[in-house]
Amino acid sequence: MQMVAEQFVKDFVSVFDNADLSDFTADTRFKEHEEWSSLVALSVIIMIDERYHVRIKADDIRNSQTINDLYNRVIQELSNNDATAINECKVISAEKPEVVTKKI
Amino acid sequence: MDKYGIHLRLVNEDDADFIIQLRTDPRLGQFIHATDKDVEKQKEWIRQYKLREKAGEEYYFIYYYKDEPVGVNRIYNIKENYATGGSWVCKPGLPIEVPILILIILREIIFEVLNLHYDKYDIRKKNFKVLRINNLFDPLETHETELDYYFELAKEPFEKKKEYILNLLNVNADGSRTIC
Repeated sequence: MQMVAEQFVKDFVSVFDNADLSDFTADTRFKEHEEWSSLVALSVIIMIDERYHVRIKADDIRNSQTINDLYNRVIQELSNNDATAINECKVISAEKPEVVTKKI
Repeated sequence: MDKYGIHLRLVNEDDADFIIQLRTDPRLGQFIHATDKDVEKQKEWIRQYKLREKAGEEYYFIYYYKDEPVGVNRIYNIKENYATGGSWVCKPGLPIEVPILILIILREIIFEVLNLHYDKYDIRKKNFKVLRINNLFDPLETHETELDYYFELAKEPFEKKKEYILNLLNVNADGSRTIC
């Protein structure tokens, strides 16, 4: 499970524009980061939905202080559906957003 | 107009201070056109805008959440079947739902009030956060320049994606369940 938690931190950091992964751990109080904003928060919700197939609520972000709090919330939600789902979920690489969706 | 717990109205001269405060914030304004800090120049710009508003050429909105002004955006370049929704700037520190709901309301006005078919807009290539939010709506990228991507969003995909986003935010589409 530890490896998955590390991946979650990596995914979490991927939604920031100017953040160094080495500055983050599971215990990082993410709302204290200078880049934290409501748009970043929304990006976190989207990232979790897309990569972990879990729909957390804005209140889950509001009630979380550390990345680990959020990770535990995702685990809890997954456990409600499938106890092993987090080990099976498809985790894609944590890069900048894919900008081009469809072209004429 | 009120929706999703957010109130909006058209901008007037009294909003000049708030608009300058938002648009000249180095973090908020880095991806939008530069704005002069001179309040009188901003008021003059708004006076000229009100003429365009009266002619049905442009609409500039200010949004309130819990009685406080929280953001602005604008509909301009209004043509026969499309317009551009842009100048979207919000105060920092807002609840997660507010900025995206402000964007949704703007597009509801384009599609449901003005009855246009498309929102055609551009986003700076380096504005990663807004690009990520923009991708949520699954728009068509029409072209690009060195600095910007150009997109076209039609009403139907917007409606589908709006439903997904409101669901993600636990907000009812009819605005009956709003943000806290």
